Amino acid sequence: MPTPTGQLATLGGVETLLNKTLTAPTITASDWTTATHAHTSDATGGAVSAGALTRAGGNTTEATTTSTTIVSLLTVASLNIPSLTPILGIASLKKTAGAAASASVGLTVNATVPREPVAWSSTANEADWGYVKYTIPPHDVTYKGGGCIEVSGTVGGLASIRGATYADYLPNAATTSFILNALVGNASVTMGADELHVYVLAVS
Amino acid sequence: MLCIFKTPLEPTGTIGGDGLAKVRAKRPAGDVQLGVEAAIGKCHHGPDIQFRKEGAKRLTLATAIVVKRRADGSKVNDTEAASAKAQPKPFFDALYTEEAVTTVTGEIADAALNRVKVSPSLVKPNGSPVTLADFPENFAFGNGTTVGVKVRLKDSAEPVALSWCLLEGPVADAVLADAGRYEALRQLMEE
Repeated sequence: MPTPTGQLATLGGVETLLNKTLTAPTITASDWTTATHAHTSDATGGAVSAGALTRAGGNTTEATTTSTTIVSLLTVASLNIPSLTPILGIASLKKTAGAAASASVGLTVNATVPREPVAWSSTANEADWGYVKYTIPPHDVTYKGGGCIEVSGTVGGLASIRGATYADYLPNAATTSFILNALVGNASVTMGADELHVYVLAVS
Repeated sequence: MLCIFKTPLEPTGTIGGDGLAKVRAKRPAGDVQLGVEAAIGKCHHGPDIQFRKEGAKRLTLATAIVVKRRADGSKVNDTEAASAKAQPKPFFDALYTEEAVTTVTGEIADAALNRVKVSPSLVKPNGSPVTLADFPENFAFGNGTTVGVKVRLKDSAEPVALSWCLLEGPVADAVLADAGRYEALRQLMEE
């Protein structure tokens, strides 16, 4: 036993230990709540490299409309995504009752409209909710489009996949803005869209 | 006449997908529209009217069957299309596809509709008034009433939440002739 020059630690006591090196320790507790482990650096649990999916931008403020022609409802600007980088987008949708009419959703990339709005809801006089998912593939002067708008909604309270629609003729340029377009079939119906998030997929 | 306003936002008490406190317009577009049409007058709901950055347009929809080359998706001219269709179907299908294409053309609508009034409370960071030129390219306002659209205007660092309604011509005339009527509209849209 070394000659004591400070305080001694006890096996069951709650004590703060300084300057100790543990060799091959076994940690049996599963609660790491109090450990600083943000994984942003070696000092915080080890840095974790970026995943395959990165959020490039979004719009988290709900917008609503009664427009029966296309309106730019949710905009994500200040993007700079190379045209050969795959992009995913997703947003939540809702429609109120008020008339027997559907609600539709579309897309504008930069100043190009690759797809006019497609119906995502039922045509019944009922409140519906659903989502839209965008898939924008790598594209250039040769591979012009093939993007996809997948929409889903509810009918009588039951969710159903409405289907997917091609988005043609994507601009041969970096994506700088991403706009969710919308319209309703009757002005007595209100369509809402919220939580539009745009992601890029890793390419290396 | 397109009337543009700032949107009153209030916290929802939840956290948005971006991790920030979520805010939302006090009233959805349908409720705002009911108030506007009861107190001020009719909004334009015609499915052939769309207000865009370039102005109010009267739309014409035309659907036609076009023939495209299967190799690159390009549209063929009428002469080649007729020649292609004269081939036996398996040969046509191997080289071409047919697709229904709807084209939308828009002519600037009448002057009564093609007017814009921006709320005096909506100004750019340098204090100058907002105009349609400050909106992104290809921006569409549609018709009826729209609420809570966040737009990054030209020369602005942060997006601003906007609402707008498209008033029918006679209603717009009445609003422009009576400051009190416009103020009532502004309160419905901004407060």
